[in-house]
Amino acid sequence: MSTALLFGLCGIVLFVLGLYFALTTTEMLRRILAINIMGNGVFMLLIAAAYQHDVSGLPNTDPVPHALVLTGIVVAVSATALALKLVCRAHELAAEQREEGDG
Amino acid sequence: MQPMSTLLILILLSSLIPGIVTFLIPEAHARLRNTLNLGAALVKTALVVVLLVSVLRGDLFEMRVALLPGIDFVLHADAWSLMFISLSSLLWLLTTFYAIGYLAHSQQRSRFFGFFSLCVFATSGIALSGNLITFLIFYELLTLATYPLVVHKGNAESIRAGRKYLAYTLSGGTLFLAGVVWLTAIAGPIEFNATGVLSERGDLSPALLQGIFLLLIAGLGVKAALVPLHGWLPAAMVAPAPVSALLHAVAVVKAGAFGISRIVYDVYGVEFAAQLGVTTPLAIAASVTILYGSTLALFQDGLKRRLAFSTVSQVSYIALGAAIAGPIATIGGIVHLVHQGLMKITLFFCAGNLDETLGIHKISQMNGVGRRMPWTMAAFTIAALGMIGVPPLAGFVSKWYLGYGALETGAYWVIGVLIGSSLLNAAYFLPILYAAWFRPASLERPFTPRTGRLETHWMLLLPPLVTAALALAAGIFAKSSYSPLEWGKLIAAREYDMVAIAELTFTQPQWLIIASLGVPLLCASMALWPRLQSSVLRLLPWAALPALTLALFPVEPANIVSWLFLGSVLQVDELAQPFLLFTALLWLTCGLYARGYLQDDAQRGRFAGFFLLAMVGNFGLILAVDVSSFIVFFTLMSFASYGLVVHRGDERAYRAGRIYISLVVVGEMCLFAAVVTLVNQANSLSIDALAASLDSHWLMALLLIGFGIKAGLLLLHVWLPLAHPVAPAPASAVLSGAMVAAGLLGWLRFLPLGLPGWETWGMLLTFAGLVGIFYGAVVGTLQQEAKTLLAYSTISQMGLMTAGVGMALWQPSLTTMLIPVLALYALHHGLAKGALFLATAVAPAAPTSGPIKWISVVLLVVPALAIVGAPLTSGALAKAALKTPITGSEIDFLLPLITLGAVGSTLLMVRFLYLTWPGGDTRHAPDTPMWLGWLVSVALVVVSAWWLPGFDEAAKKALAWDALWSQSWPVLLGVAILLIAYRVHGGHRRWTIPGGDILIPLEHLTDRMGRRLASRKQGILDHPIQTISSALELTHAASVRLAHAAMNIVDRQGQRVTGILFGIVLAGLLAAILW
Amino acid sequence: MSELPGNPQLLVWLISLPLLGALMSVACRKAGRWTAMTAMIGNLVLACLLLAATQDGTLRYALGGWEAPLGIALYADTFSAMMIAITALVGAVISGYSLSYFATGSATERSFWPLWCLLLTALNTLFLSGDVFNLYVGLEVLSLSAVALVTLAPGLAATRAALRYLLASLMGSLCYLLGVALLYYAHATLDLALLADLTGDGPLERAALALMIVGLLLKTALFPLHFWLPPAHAGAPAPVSALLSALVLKGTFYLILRLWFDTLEEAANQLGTLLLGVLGCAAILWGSVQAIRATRLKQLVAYSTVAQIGYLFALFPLLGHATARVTAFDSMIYFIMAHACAKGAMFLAAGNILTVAGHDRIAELRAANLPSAITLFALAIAGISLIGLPPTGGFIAKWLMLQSAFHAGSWWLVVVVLLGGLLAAAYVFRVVAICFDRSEVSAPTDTAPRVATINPGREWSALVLALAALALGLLAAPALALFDATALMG
Repeated sequence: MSTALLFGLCGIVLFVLGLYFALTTTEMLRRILAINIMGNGVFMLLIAAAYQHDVSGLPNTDPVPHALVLTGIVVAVSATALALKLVCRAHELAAEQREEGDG
Repeated sequence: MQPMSTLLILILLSSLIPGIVTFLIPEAHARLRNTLNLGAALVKTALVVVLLVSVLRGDLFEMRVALLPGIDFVLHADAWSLMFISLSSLLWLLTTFYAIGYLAHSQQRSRFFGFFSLCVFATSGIALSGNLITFLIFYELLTLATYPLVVHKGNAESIRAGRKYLAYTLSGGTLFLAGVVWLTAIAGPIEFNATGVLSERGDLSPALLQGIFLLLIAGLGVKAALVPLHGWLPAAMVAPAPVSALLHAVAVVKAGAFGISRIVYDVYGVEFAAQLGVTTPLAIAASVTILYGSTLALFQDGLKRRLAFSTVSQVSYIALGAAIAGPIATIGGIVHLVHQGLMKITLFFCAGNLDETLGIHKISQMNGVGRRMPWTMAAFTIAALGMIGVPPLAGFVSKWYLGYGALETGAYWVIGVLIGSSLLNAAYFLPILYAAWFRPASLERPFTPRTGRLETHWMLLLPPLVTAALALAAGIFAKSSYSPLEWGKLIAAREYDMVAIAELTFTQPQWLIIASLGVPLLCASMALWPRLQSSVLRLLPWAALPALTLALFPVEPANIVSWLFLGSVLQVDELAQPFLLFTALLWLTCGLYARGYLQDDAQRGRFAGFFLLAMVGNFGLILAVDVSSFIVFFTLMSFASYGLVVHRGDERAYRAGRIYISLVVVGEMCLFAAVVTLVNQANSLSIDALAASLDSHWLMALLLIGFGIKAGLLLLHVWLPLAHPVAPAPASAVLSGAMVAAGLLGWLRFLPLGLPGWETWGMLLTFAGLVGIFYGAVVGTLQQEAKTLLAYSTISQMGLMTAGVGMALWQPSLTTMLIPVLALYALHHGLAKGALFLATAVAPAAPTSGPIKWISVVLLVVPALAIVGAPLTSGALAKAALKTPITGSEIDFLLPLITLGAVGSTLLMVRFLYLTWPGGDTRHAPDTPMWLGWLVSVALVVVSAWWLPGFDEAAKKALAWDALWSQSWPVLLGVAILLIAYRVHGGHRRWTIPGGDILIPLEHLTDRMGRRLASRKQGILDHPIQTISSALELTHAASVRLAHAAMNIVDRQGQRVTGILFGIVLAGLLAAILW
Repeated sequence: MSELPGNPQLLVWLISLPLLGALMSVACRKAGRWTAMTAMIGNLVLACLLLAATQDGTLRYALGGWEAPLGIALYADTFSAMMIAITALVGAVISGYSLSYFATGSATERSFWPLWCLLLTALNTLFLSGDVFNLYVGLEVLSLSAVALVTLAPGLAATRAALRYLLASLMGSLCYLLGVALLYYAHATLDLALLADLTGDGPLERAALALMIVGLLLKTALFPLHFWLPPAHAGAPAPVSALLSALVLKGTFYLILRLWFDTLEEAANQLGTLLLGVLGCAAILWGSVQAIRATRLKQLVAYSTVAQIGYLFALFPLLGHATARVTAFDSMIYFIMAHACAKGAMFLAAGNILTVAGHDRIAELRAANLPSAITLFALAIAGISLIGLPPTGGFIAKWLMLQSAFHAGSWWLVVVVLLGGLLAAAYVFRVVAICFDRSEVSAPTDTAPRVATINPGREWSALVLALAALALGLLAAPALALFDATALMG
């Protein structure tokens, strides 16, 4: 088993695990985390892809997947940030509503 | 020639643009809005007229725009579309008028009129569509544009109705869409083509085409309200009256019917459709609808609901016309599109007027409404009678052609449907008419007195009058060159790829003939004006003068009026002259008498109107020698007499009227069936030709029954003893003297007298007549009331005449001699019986002593002697004349029976004298005109014996002294029998038979059955529908609850389910793709 | 042909102009709305130019001069030009509506314009990009800006809906990205055109396709993956709902279509096509039934979107059919265009009703507390187009679809489509009936009916969109002539 394949399979396992939890958990924070794990799985697969395609005879020389992973991380960070902000806001609003309900 | 398209677009825009602009007009600017809408309607009508003229000139109109790749949007104008568009634009104009008046104080008028115009836009589009997809587009647009009108009132009920309307029409539209797409997919875009497009496509499988036909018809059937797709129509009745008018007469229902005929004729081609075997199911569906709709209409109390079910029934005539694959039936169906539109819109206008002016929307509230709103109810009456198919109204023309066409193609069962439907129509319309005209207004709902000079707003009144007049004109002028009928023929010729045959012939009209009918008609129309009613009564006798002149100085050439009815021929022939003579005399004297009799009657105007109408009918039928006018006048007389019978307006009059009208309607139906069949066989409208072509026993029976009802044939006589006592004396006189003879005349004209092969029927008829003589005498003698007795005397006398007719059938060789004799007998009987009836109101009131008493006694005895056939009277003359041909023939064994008949007559007359002997009854003091009328009538009886042309032989014999004994002994025998009977049986009162004899047990029977039914009536007739529908509702509710519950579960679990479903779909897709 | 329209630089402009608009509207806070409006109008002009330019052939532009496989290409044919154009048109009208919807100078307004410009950028990127990874970026930008737009509505429900939307969309994106990674693993290129030449139907390609499609299906809200849609679309402010329903879903759908029938055509098979078709049919029925059951107007409209998306997928089996595909493709384009206009109009009208009546509970709405006839007409015409009644664009789409179904002999599809039309009529007329209902409200309402007045601009923009749906029906032949389905679908 080549390293690339191992990485690739690991990535897929990570993705599936993340997917499983994202689908089954109802708690928002966990779901966000699970989705991040999914993302990491994909990134691992991409890195594996970089090993797969050696451009100049050297391993790990394909720059494109690296660029992709970097972009992906940026996207993931911003999406996570937005998700977290929304969770916070939902929490605040829910608290407000409870107070109103009590008062 | 290059097709022109501008005009077509202009016609469409002429209602689209005003529609859109109307939406923008603020609510308060009523004047602007009204001007715009009326202007648009006028412009549109003008444009349609231009189009009509151009198409007639031979111009082609077509517009073609690409709609989709390979599919065009096509507008074109052919004869069929022109007919529809002319109807809709004309009725739109009137309805706009009406709506402006009707909605004067309503909300949201801009919205209403906007959608109203859009609706007409869609209808014009439907009319002008040149292919199926264009039709579909406008068809759906129509659904959308009418929805806001249906829910216009905005209350919960109308919203519900709107929902129902949409549910039906959109489902129908969906089926139609499926059919259209399917057809387009297999056969390319379908353009409407005169003889059908698909007939030329041999490559398509018949089963497929049948399936598509089913889809298309099911889709269109919803709008055309074919059972069971009709449910929306009664529900949509909550809309304002102009909308109902629009739905029923102008747009929606018509669009469906128009579409069906387009599919049958222009898409499939009628011959191809028949070949595919799809027309028969359609015809059956249409027939079921006709009968079902009429039946349900019977059970509605809401006026508009009844009208709605009537529409369900009537519109299917159009589909029926299309489904009976024959050119004549096609004409019937096509022409009914226009006729039904005119009649139904009138009915709805009137219903709207009643609602708007008096707040009446139930039939049970309509008692006496005719007096409050005579104009409205007159229009209503015309339209309702037209719906029944009463000639000469528009509905008759349609039914005539449908029936004729059905026979042409051998679909005999259709006649049954037509008759059944007419009977049902009569059953649900006539009670309304009765209630409106003859019932007194109920006390708890006094009508508001009219505020202005008119009974309601003029804008509400004018449209129904115009449409009613048009419905009348469409029937009367059916043969004129621009009538709907002629258009229908043009279209039918086109659909069958035939050349239209010009049938128009004009000859010089005979003014005297026209005057003899026109003058009474004119007077009758005057009776509609309340102010003129007294003067009409004064004119009553003189209206008969032209006819009398005509009878005395007959004009030779026939008066052929080809535009009248179906081409009418009126002439005074040998048979007509004696009938016309005595009829005119009788009407004249009775008119004279009526002037006094009805002087103080509040309803004298109404009486005069019906009297005159009956007079027109009577004269007309005598003059008519073609079928259509004969039937028209015969019917006119029958129906007008109803007004005379129920004139008194009490319960007894109502009962008599009900029985009379039932029998009349049955008789009319028999005649219709017989005559349509005969016309088809003889291919001629001339009565002579018909009589010659009579070849079936069924037809013979129908004719005998049809006229036998009028002539008081035994068993069919029951209306006579009921109707005569309740009718005013002058009316009874004409009923008994003149109109009964109409039945005789009918026999003489229609039966194949003088032709061999009918001996058995002749024998039957002879014996029926002879039995009638004695039956009438016996039952009559036991009567308590003079007029009832006279009615039985009429039955007895008519028995003699019936026997005469029977003998003519039995012994064809005697015919030529018997016919003039029978005419003579009718003359004698008419005059004498008239005089006796007139006596009933005068003689009992004469003083008990003094010269006046003896004058009255003489006046009483003279006509009585004439009836008996005492020597030196017209009766003796007539009897002698009747016996002359029989003497020496094979049937002279009947002579003693005829002679014995005189004994019966004597019994009747003695009893009559007893009942009317001058008794100084001062309750009804007779006045001068009554005396005068009586005097004249008796004088005529006397004179007629001595002055009659053509019967020299018989006269010599009758008036000779040596025959005195042979003529007197039966009379004396009769007197003797009566005297003995009185002596033996002191009290004769125990021996009475109620008037109507055999009817009484019959009525008991039906009453009992009716009562038994009544307990279950609701259950049987109303409830099955309700039960089914409530069951459906329950099921629906249950399923809805179930679905809600299921969905709620899914909803609640939604969040968790999302994830699981995602997984499943992912797995599914992976699996699907990987393997 | 002049130089400018044919210039492939048009493609760059189409992406950078809205982006520029977004940046500028953030920068100049006060005049943000006008900057954004300028960008919208510029975008509309560019879209028209693109439409004209693609009539003569496809455009291709390599960014920075780097050709594939390394560089990122932009690509436009008549189909994408059509999508750009309809987006620009509907977007411009919705922008006009938004001008008077959001209170001037409010925080909501300040965030709306940049986000909307960003959304447009993302959409244009999706339509023009010729690179699978660039598409991923576009998808993410689309999702993030869409979610952010949903959060413009105050309240807990909207926030929760936005969160749900975000998570669903992230999951979808990651699925898509995994597919991209697999593709790259197999072929080492991201360029759509190259991939189309290279891909076979090996397991890797199939798995990649499946993953990408499922991810996109989640974003397109095909039944049964639609659960996030109704709350998000119903909860957002009216113009946002209109944007999401009318445009955003079309972006991802466009991508599915491209991948399934163009790029990875060899990997796609009959069974999968059929499955998508069946799901589409189920969506039609389910969405319609839910719309009939909806208690709130905006919820109803949102469920209607679920149903309408179903039509697009129901066409898949027909698109795979040799004789029916050209008509089916015409039908698809028409569904997209007609739905964009009609649904936009419907949400805008619903927004007007919500503002005027103060609530959108269907059972308590009556004619008395509705906005003027202009809005109601917009609602009615849009509804009619959704039902598929003539003479609207929806009718043309449905006609073409039925025609193609008859050609292909897919009877079940005919039945579903007709049934869907009837169900649509049921929910549309539930709403239309209100416009005529003057009866009293039976249940006492806690909020007294307050009748607010609204800017006529809002009413007219709803009507303009509705009229566009109507015009699509009247001008079907010229509209269909703008692109060549035969060339696109072989």
